[in-house]
Amino acid sequence: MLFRLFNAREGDDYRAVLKGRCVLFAVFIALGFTTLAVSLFLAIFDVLDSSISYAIGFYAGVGIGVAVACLVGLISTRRLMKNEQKMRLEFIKETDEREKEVTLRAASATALALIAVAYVAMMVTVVLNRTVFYTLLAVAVVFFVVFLSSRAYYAKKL
Amino acid sequence: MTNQIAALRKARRITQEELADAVGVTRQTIISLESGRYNASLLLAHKLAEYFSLTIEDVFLFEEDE
Repeated sequence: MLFRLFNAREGDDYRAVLKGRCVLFAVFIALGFTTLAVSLFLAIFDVLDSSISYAIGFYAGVGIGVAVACLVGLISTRRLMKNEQKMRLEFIKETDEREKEVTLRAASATALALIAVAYVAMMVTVVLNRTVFYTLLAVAVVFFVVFLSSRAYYAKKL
Repeated sequence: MTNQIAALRKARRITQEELADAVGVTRQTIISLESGRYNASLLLAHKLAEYFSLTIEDVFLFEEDE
């Protein structure tokens, strides 16, 4: 689904876009397996302190998840590239202006919800847990910095 | 803004699928345009007008208070 954010644009050579996407999938599969390998290394050589050993399970889970999801994406993209008719339909779906509008509005609503939840969570955690509070504060600051800088970028670009 | 897409399409006996395919959008977009839930971009408006061999003003009707 995330790869949908990097959709083709009208006039693009869709086959080239799909090829680029396959390369991206391959990079993420490698990243997933690397994460899995790191988790196996940590488990076998018992590097981590027992109090944070749950991190091994997290690394393994994320690694397998990313690798499998990208493998599925890679296979379906390569299959799509073999069928001209399906490729054309998929290109129309990706470049459809209404679909783009729907995605933009959904992203906007998600960002708003994220900030609202972060605000409530910060109000609660400020009295309960300082570490969690600072983490949430950092997320909010990064969010606004990215938002303002990307807004400035697109204001100049468009 | 209202439009004549549904009427023009029916007059030419074209399906929503065929029209969508001709202008490079999904059938759902044509459905939304015809029902007035979605307003076309200038580019899509141009493509639709060109498809029906009309001007944009013939296909899309802008109302003064908008």
